Amino acid sequence: MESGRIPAASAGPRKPPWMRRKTRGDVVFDVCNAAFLVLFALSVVYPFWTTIVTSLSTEKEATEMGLRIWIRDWTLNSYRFALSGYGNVGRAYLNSIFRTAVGTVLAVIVTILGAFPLSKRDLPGRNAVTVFILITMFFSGGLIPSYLLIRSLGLIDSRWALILPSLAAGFHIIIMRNFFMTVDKACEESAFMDGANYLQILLRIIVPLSKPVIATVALWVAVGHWNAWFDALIYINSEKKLVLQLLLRRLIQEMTLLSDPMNSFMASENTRIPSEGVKSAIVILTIGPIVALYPFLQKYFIKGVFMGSLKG
Amino acid sequence: MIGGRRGASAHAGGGEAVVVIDDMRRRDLRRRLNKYWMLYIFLAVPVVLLALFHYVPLYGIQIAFKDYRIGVGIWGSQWNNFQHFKDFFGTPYFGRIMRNTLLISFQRLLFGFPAPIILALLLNEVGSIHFKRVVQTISYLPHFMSWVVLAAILTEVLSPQRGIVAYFYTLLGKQPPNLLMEAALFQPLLILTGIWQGVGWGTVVYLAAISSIDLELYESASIDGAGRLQRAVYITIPALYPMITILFILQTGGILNAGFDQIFNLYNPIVYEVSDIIDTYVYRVGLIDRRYDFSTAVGLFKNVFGVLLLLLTNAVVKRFSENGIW
Amino acid sequence: MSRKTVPLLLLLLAAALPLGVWAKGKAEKDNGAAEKPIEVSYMIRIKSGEDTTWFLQEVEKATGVRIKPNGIDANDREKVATMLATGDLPDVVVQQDNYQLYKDGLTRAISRAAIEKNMPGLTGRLNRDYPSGWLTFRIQGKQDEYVAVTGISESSFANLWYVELRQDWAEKVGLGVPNFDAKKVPMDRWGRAYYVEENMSLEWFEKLLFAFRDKDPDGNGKNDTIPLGANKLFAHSWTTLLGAFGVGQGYNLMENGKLTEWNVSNGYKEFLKLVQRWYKAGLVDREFANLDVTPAWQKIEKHIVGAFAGVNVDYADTEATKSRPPNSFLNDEDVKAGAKAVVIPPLVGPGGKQGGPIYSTLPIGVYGWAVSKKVDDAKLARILSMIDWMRAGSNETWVSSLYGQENVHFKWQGEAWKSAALPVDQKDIPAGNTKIGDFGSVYPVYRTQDRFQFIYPEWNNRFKDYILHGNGRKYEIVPYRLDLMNETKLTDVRKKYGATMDTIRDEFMFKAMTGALDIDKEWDGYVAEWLKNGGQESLNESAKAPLYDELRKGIVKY
Repeated sequence: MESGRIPAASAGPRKPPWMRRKTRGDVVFDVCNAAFLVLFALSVVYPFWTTIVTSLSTEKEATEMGLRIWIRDWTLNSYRFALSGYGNVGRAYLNSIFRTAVGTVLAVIVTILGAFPLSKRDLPGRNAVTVFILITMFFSGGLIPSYLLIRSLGLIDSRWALILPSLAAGFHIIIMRNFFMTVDKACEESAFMDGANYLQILLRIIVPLSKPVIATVALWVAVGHWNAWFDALIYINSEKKLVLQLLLRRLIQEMTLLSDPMNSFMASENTRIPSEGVKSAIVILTIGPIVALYPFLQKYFIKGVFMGSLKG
Repeated sequence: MIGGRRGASAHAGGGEAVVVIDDMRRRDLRRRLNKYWMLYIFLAVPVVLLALFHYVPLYGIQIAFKDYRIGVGIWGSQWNNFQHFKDFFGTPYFGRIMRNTLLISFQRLLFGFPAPIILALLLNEVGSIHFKRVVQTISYLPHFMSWVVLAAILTEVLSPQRGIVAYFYTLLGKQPPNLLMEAALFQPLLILTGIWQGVGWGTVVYLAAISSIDLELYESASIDGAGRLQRAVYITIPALYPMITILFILQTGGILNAGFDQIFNLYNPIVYEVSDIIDTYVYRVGLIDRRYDFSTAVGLFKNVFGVLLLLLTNAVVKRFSENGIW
Repeated sequence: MSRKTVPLLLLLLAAALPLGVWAKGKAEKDNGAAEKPIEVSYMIRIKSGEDTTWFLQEVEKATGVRIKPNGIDANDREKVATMLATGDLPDVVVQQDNYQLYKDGLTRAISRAAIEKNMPGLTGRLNRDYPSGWLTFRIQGKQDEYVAVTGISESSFANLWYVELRQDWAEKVGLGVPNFDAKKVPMDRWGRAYYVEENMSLEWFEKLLFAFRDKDPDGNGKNDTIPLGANKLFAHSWTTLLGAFGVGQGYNLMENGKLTEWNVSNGYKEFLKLVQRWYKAGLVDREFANLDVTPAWQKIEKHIVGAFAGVNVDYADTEATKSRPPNSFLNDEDVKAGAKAVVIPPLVGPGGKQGGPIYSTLPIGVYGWAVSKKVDDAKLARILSMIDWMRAGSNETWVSSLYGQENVHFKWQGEAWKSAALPVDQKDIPAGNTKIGDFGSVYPVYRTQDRFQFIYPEWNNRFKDYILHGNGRKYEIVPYRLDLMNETKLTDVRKKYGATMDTIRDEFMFKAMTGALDIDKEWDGYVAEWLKNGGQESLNESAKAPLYDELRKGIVKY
């Protein structure tokens, strides 16, 4: 292998030597890789971009067909319409944020509490519990019994009905468990010898080492909560506890209702049936926050050039 | 090793040895219980939650075997002698929907499963951290858009009149085909666009696993003369094995879910032949008669089938590695 | 006080006294059965999260019935399903599955006597106009007991499907609809569409489509016009063309002395052959099979489409539906520039057949009020009389129940109480009033013709008159037999085989229309397949249903 020294082109902290050595084959690969990723990114961003463009376009532009790349006549009307009197959108946002924040934190804790013990291969009863968890992943009693259960717990119309049922999720527990299993045992064993109990081990050793998987599960749970609407539909009755997705879904539903000729008399002179523009605004409003959240969690996933793993 | 495997190899005449072994195992068990007592407290939290919210409602599954009448409730409804299953297996379309479901799922596994892994590896090789981050953030965007929106966009892109694809055909002087109506192309189209939607999101868990690989491993491998490809194959991929195997096994459990949302928003009667899956068929049944019990029965069938396949896959995987469900 | 004023005062007092007594008596009478205020839970969700609406308060004032909304909208199907499944029924339930509710023991029977006693308005109307109303929602086996009280919906009781095309383009290629200027009747107030009563033939239409295809009618130098627009919903694309072969979509009919279903009739076969021929010739939008309604309408708005055969004229003349046909073929600039769009009656096919399927078979028996089993007779009487007062009473009450308070929640389009009521945007409602003025639920509808003036803006009103009373009636294609009283096992057959039957039907339909199969060769196989998988059974059941023509008159004849 040639060791023609081609200096690293990109910005960032200085890379270790083994990363900087590049062959000609490496360069070709890098270029192709970059090109491929750029094309891929463009293809992937296209629908999102057209949605943003449509949400900011006037009625006339919004129904323009074909490639929608730039905004000619732009307006905030679609957003205004979506955010106006169909219900208190601000409150719905708060409800969604509450449910996502509280739900995620609690669910992550519960998942860790489940995954950590199961990561010990010699834990008595491990298999039984695993089967126990697996069954919940594949079999479900359905809507009616769940509703009756929530009702008998007195949680109908409570925000906790949206949080408690999903705190323990088999899939997340198993993923996290598998990750824990790859963590080096030596650290843990020596701490145990020194008299630490498992709670301390968990908090001081395992969790710091497992930031990537914890962040992953947190992301999954957060997205799940943010996008959830069905449980809110079934369990929540009072309008002030509605979550965002449900409110916006209702808006679309009402828009569809208005288009039924049986109901055409419900429309006023002033309301146009909101079209693509408003629908796009709704999409952006729902996706926006979670997309904005992601970069903050991203640092746990993308390996930066930080030196050394954290050895016990 | 786990859970005390009783019935140790009882060699004939090894009576005393057996007693000793059993005794040792019991003491070993007690020792482990003592050591891990706190872990059981931890474990109790999710177990209780699961028992409450998943096991308690499980009795609802019985309506798969009953004619559910709202008036008398789940317990009061009559057993119906597996009629729902007879209806489901007896529909003239059963063969077709099973075939399509399995084919589509299989193709998704074959092509769609490795895709996020490959993308994660490619991303990993990128030097610039900013580029990496931007691409990765963009890549998961389609995952957040529902197929209602994506299908509308896709229909436009593939339109024989206004689409980009049609444009290229006209450049070549040929009449653009109606891609969404071609039975031969429909399944590949589903797989491809399904990958496109989910690959970015799928990389998250793999990137997380990669980020915890000890960099010194790369260092020493490089010093030993390993090139990029070799480093990827011998260090990165093995580090992903636990994640890959578990995700693979779990995905086979969902084999009879072939992606309802996507198919429902893209299909049309001309391509029913290749795209009608169990869920779309059951959906159309539900339009006419909101048969809650029938859909539960079908769901049960799907899950049992999936669990069996999952166990099979798990057994196969365990043969080759120690990663598995347990 | 002077001596003269005292007797004057006494006189006044004497006059005032009986006046006061009379006024009090009248107030009591107006409050109707307000002897005792009662609470009735009702299946409504009040939008915008309020607890009550202005009209609900009026209900309480006038009838003593306090309505408690239970927060569930009839359109939230999952929520309704949960409500039903857990037995959490409110006192009054409004949704379509009334027979099932009764069978499941959730609702109570309502006797004809109770209806006649407590609902004079509805009773009078049914007796006068819709004797068949007494046949709907009847409990099987019982003459005078009902599972629900029917509403009345006259606005969609006719064929609503017509054909629309760009008249100026048609004239440009020499095939315009004749007598346009002489016979044109405006369909809206903007001049975007005119109705011309000219019976045009299929042959003419086909020639027109070819001309649209080849002769660049919009003059943009490219042959990119789609002659006939369509989308994947049959009703929105093909009903009038099917009617040209004498078949009404969704209905059974007599053909050659035998009862048959629309999608296995010979007329349907001929229709499919026509569409296939047109599709292969490039006269139909190539991607119609996977086009949703909205993108199809967008194409019309963008002036790419020449003609459309599934125009629902109920949409005309509402601001809210300007982006749909019939009002979307032209925009206001086009009108100023002299462009013309014309709506014509369904095309005339071979054998002189013409028409479209009647939109709803009867104006009664679609939505009904059902009452929970827990309600006793006295409460039922109060509920019935409240509903009658609200819907079948005076015009004022009815309008208020739908729109709210005059000049607060709605404004008149023209003269008060003689023109359409136009709802005011919520943000424009002055403070101190409830945001929602109306009852909170529009179902079941009670929309009789004398009240159209309040609903439909002027032009649509006139066109409705045409459809319901004028020539529009002759374009209706009606079913031969109708199972109005749910006497046959048709529903069960549909539940069992419906999905299969529909799949067979739809696959054949789309493949035939797009030329993916040979209709003549595959027809018999298709019909046999359909019959085998529930089609024959459903026909057998339909054969037991009463005749539609007699039902309309209130007569039950088999």
